[in-house]
Amino acid sequence: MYIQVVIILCMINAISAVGLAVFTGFTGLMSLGHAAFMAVGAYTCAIATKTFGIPFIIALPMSALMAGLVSLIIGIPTLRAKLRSDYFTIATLGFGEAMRVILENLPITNGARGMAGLAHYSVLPTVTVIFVIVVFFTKNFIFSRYGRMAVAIREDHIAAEMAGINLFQVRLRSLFYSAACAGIGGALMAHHIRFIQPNMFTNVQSTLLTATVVAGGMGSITGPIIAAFIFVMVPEVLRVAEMWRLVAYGALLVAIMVLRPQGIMGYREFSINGIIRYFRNLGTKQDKGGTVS
Amino acid sequence: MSISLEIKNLSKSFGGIVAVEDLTFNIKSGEVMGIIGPNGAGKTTVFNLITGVYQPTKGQIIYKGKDITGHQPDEIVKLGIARTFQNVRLFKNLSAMENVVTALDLKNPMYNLASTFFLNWPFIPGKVKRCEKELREKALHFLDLVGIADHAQKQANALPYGLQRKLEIARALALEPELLLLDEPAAGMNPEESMELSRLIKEIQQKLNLTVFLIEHHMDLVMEICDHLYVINFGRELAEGNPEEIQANPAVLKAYLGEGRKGA
Ligand SMILES: Nc1ncnc2c1ncn2[C@@H]1O[C@H](COP(=O)(O)OP(=O)(O)OP(=O)(O)O)[C@@H](O)[C@H]1O
Ligand SMILES: [Mg+2]
Repeated sequence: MYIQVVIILCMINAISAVGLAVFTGFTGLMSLGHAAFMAVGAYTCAIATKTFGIPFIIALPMSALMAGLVSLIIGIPTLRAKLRSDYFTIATLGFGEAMRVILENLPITNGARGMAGLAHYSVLPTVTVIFVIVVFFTKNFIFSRYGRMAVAIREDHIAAEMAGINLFQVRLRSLFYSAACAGIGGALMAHHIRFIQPNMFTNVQSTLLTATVVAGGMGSITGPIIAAFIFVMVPEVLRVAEMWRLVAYGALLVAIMVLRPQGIMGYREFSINGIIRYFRNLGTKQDKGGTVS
Repeated sequence: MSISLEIKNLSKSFGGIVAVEDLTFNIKSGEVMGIIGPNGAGKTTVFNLITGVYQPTKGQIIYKGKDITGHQPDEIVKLGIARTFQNVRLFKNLSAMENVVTALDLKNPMYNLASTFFLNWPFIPGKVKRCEKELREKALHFLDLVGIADHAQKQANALPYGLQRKLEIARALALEPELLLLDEPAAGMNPEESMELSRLIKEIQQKLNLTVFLIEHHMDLVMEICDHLYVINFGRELAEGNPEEIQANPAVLKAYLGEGRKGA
């Protein structure tokens, strides 16, 4: 059913976005190469299930692990060198391209032709359960001592170091986590579309993912989830032709940045209590005749 | 008294600028040592070298008999050295409480990654929630120590400047250091406030049995609480001694009067 397909896509993108939110929104580093981790997850899962006949339930965590391990290849040298954040971003850009070239030239990935005829595992109940698990883990990770260390680094990395926080360790941990989430997203995507090709995982894909996190709001996990849903749904609802899709994204991004420069949920979380508080404040502010900023 | 920190022939240049040149001095355990000198003398650079923010060009830094030259800041903090910054560096968007809780983690790592992921369920009390609550109680103790417990829930950058400085001290104390470095703790305070602060520093130092090394331009505060003073000018040692000796030292007077002329 069409609507199911849209919801599945929303959740798959939200899984990758929520992982990247941990890295970009909470550690403050930008990545333009996360599609590479989606690719690693997609190929790991596809090869495991199709080539080796491993059950999906085992192949999926394998994909997460593999994407995480691959992230160490880029993470260890760049994060250890304490590269300035813009240099790091450029390194991830190059890494993403390199990964795609590698996938195009390996025998096991079937090169540029890609892998077809994958089993249809990413059905709505499965994707929903995995989405809930990922969000649950991410929330626990962020609201813990580990999340706190990441936030401290984002706030002031020198002060964080002087509070005994090891920059390299914390950044690498967040990168690993975000790559693992992207790996799961990629794996689910592979078994949703049932066909994968290296050129599905380009820099455009990486940029979109980072745009989702920024539009959703730095320092928030519900924000990027909402943004991921909007970014999938709006073009679908408007039935924008493939050619105009990127234009639609661009327009959407500009609209969000103009209306809410801090992102949809910058530094905040969406919650029922929050909504109640919002309306209450709205009331009191109107009573005083003040403006709602 | 044993020696806490030994600085030997410490030098640092930035490109062509020599910020610190050939400094040698000791800090004894349990004393309050002050470092003074005109603007740009190299005082903050000395702090940055001790805490590993910069690597020295030459020389050695020895803490409790261990050579810590070239160590990373987080390693140095783990050995028991904490500091505050001249231009207050707080985690601005976090509450005062969260600022202190972040620092508490160093000596109180309460739960591991597995508990983080699996032992924190909505509506169910669990290990993570219990530990987090305990950390907040501990944090309150440190905020109380500097007298800002009432402001625990306020966002750090919403606090008045003087309280931000105190919060920074509380955060440093939460690291449970043995040696505390304070970079101009009374900057921007009037004479009354700075005297109040000097009483607070002395009180905390005695209560927690700390060694304190401080930079300060308020001479009344310096003379009040320092057991020992080290004076530098243009990155070089100018004098060393107790406050009375320093006040009577002609070279020191000249350096400060010279600075006055320059400023006029
Ligand atoms: N990162 C840096 N790069 C280049 N020069 C620096 C750097 N840090 C300090 N300096 C230079 O080193 C010298 C000493 O600076 P420092 O900040 O240590 O002085 P200070 O004694 O703390 O002065 P103040 O009382 O104004 O705080 C100055 O000339 C300064 O310009
Ligand atoms: Mg200074």
